[in-house]
Amino acid sequence: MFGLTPDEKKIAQLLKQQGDFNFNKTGIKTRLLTSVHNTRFREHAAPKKFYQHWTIQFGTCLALVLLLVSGVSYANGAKPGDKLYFLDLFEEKIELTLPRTAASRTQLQSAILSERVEEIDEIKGDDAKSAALKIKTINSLQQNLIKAVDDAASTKARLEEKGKDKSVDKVNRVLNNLEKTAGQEERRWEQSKGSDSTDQEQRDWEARLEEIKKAREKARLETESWKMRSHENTSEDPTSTQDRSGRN
Amino acid sequence: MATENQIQEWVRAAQNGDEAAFGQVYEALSQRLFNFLLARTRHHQLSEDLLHTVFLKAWNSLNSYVPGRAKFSTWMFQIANFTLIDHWRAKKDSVDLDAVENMSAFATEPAKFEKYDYLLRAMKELPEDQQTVLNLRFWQDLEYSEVALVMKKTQVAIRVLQHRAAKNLAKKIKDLGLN
Repeated sequence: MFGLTPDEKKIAQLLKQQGDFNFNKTGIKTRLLTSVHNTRFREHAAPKKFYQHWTIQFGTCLALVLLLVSGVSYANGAKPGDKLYFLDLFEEKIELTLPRTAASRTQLQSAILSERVEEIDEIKGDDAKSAALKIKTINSLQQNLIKAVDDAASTKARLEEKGKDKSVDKVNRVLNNLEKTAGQEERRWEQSKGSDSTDQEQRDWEARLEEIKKAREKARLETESWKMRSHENTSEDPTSTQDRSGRN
Repeated sequence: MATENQIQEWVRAAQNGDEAAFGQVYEALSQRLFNFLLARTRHHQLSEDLLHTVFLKAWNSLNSYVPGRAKFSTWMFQIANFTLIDHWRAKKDSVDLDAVENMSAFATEPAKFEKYDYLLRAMKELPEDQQTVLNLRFWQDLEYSEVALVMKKTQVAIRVLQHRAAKNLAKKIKDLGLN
């Protein structure tokens, strides 16, 4: 024993000379293995593999999130038919679920619809693929438009009950834009009527037109009093150029 | 006598639920752990119960042992040391080994009783950590690094403790009028 003092060497020798003490080795083993057998197997799982370590899992999740975010950012300029267009739509869905005020959600819905209108106009080509893509996008736009008007009207009613005038004002502006969009879609849909469509197609076409007209009318009625007030406010200022458009 | 590699293999198997492999680990390490426990408690029945507890604790926390990081025996001694500390805390009063109990411990080994009882009595006079370091270093042959792991101290602290413990024990033995 290198480095030990004389006392330490003596003590070490004494302790070593004791040797082993007898005990009920077999009996304890039997008792132990019975206890072990009764213990749940789950507590004896093998050590985690490296990929189960929390740092690896966290790092992987973070990497996936960053990849998704970068993909979404890259997809922001994507159009219908582009490979990453689905990410653009995914981002919109996520944004709509994020916590925000009712008024700002309505504004976001309106902004998404405006983007859809632009995307439809950017779909070029006369081939069947482009036509199908355009129809699909128009369908999506119109369904979202009808829903957006309903949501905005509900939101406005709730905000009015709470007396939140500023937020009501925001929603009125959105409804005004939705009314314009609905008007555009109404005209687009009227022009899309085919001369050789079947009875069912004709019925579907008429049903869609009716829905768009209702949405436009609803938006118009919701904003009628707001427009009148806006007109009264601006009529006092002769330099105002506020647009008072709105179809009857 | 099983090598460290063999023990590591059994441990890996036991971590996958192999109870027989754990039995092998028991066979390889139980004697040393019993010696350690008996030297500290000086109570035969208690030492056997504690031995069972130590191995059961090891089985229940086997997945926390990382093979290769430290010897498995070191890890077991760590559990044994903490089990002892928990036992003293729970009991508060130490279990005194009277001559009758001590005799029963060495009933099959009266010569051993005659020869070494004085040593264990002298050691019992030392502080707990000094008893532990003497036991682990000189009786169980653990390295400074291993003892440091078991007792959660630095190696320097273990060296100092060992020196002090040996010096004190030598003095105790002299005070008892023994050579």
